[in-house]
Amino acid sequence: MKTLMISPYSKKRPNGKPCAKNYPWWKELMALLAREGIKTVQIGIAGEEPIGAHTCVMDLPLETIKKDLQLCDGWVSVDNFLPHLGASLGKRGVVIFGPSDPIVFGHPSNINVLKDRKYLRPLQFATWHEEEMVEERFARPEEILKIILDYLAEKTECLSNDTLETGS
Amino acid sequence: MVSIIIPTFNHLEDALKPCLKTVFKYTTFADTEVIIVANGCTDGTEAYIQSIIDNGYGKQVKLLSFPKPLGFAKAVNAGLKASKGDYIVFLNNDTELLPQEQNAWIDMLRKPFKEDPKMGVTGVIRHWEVGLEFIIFFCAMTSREVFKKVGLLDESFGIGAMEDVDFCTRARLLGYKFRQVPDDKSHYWPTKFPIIHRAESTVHHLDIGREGWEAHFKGNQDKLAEKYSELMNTVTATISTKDRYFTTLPLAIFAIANQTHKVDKLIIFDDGEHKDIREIPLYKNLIGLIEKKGIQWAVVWGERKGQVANHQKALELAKTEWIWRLDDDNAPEPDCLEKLLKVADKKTGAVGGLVPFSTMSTNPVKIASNKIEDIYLGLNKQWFRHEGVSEVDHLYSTFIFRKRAGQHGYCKELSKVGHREETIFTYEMKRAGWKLLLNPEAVTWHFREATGGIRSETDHGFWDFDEKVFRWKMDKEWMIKPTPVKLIVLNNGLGDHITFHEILPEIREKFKGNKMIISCCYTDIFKNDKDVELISIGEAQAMTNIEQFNIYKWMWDRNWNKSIIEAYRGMYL
Repeated sequence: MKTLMISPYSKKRPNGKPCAKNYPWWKELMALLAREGIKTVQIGIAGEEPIGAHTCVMDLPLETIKKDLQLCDGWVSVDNFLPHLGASLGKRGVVIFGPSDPIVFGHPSNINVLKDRKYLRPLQFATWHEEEMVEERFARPEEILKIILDYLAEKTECLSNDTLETGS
Repeated sequence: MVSIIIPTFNHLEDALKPCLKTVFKYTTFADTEVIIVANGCTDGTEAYIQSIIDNGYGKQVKLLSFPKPLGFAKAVNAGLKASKGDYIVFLNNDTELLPQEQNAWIDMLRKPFKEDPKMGVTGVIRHWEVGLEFIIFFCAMTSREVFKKVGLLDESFGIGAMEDVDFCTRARLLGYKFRQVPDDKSHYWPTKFPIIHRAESTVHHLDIGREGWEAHFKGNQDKLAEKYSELMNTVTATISTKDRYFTTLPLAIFAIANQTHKVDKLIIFDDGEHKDIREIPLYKNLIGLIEKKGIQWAVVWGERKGQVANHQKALELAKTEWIWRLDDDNAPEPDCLEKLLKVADKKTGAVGGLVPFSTMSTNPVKIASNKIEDIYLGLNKQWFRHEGVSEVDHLYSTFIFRKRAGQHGYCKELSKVGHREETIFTYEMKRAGWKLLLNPEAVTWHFREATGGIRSETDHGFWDFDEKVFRWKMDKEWMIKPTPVKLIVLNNGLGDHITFHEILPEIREKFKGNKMIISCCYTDIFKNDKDVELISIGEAQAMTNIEQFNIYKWMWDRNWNKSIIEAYRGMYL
């Protein structure tokens, strides 16, 4: 059984609404991964909502995350700290982008998944407090699942623009 | 009877003869004697005096002759011992009385003794030396009664200087008073007393040369300071202000008035509108308070030449041992002055305390330093809480200093904003051998007021100019190489920290030799980077405007379309 470290951005904003960077279909994706026999471990910070992973651990020290990351078969994240950590440790993973631009915030060593550049928010460097979650900015869970399975099978190569656009 | 004692060491023609001529002319000798103490004279002084005696003045004139120079105190003491008068006048040989009613000068000197049984010394100039008030003995009177209780002049002061301060201080400690005559208002020339004093040191044996004399003078000052160290905590508080009549200035004055160690005098240098504060109701109350506390006060309408000129003027006007300089947005806690004074010893030139901004964190900052080479670190120890008195290289904003230690004056090359003026002033003190101390228990709050202030100039050229002056001094005069600092601020997310960390080796290489300081939110990222000094975001805010390190703003301003790691390279490399 393969194990994936999952890093969402599931803490609600102060106004109670979801963060625009978070993937809207984590629960569906976790269910699909479970069906494939893949174990998932959600990491995050206190206040984040569970997304249906097999295990959920919060507020791990950075050193622990680094060690666990090396022990996992892979990792899946949105645009948060984990893609940077994975890149710095040389551990490739899958990053689900939506409104933020992987050219700026992504690392070429990761598999950066973007539905379409037309969904990028216009002001890339503005804060996220006021940004609304728009589901259609993200690729569907079935597409993400396929990318993850290829990734785990080591079939996915980084594309020339470092971004895997699903176009769905 | 009055005894006039004139010590003399040569200078018969240019000093003693003109002096005696006027003494004889304007003094009634019915009840007066003149005692000439000739010591080490080789110019015929004794023969001249003897000829006066031989010409019928044997009752009025006495000659005490000593073959070798005695020094001022010893010579005067010889005269004192030989005197018979109920009143004793000390008169230097380089004085001349001016035209006056017969005996007017003696009457002026003697009058206060008749009026006040506690009168100890009268004279022409009341002055201060090392914070001690005294009458200068070039022309002064005491009474036999006082002299009997106070004793002779202290001969350990050698050839001269400070023995008059010492005598007056001893008299004061016995409850005697001093008075300048004929009026006690002006401490400076021109006096209304009918005399001129050439002050050419003709009573001293001056084979030691000018430098030797200066060293001797300073040595006697130190001796005096040591002898009366208990009495020397006299303080003049000075505030330099501009247009803060109704904001922070009243707070500063109120805080000064309420010190547990009373200040002796408050001088306010007003570089603003020159309002007559006596007419302002708020200040009427404040002045009433100050006066009830027994604090003398004065307002000096400045010439609007700025900070440096005002502080220099304060240095000249203050007569106390200590000067407490404050800005018009400083509010010392009630025990601040007491705590500043408490830690000073005789080698201490200045003492500063904490000067935290009331709106900013005062949490301890371990790398804050007041070493002169760390000046560009921009983190002053006086801003942050810490424990223990420490010796420092320079002080900032408000501190007490000995008038003697500040005799080099303020840096006149600086512009009117006086950027770095206190750093230069205090570091020069240190260079002169004085100790500078920082007592963090003494707290003065710094209220940041947006309007007014002595440095309220909008032209940044003043600051740039002053910085150049400061750099020049460091480089050419002090030979100090400032520690170069590379500051990095990461006021952002964990991912940004991790990304930045990727380029740290490149920064390290480019800025080899710099002290690298990283202000960040996630210190774990840098825990293996032993060469890096980690500080909080608040500490960086104390050093500089950290908005310049906002990588998102940096990218926004440039319509950035490359990776964030490239943005970090653009910002820091």
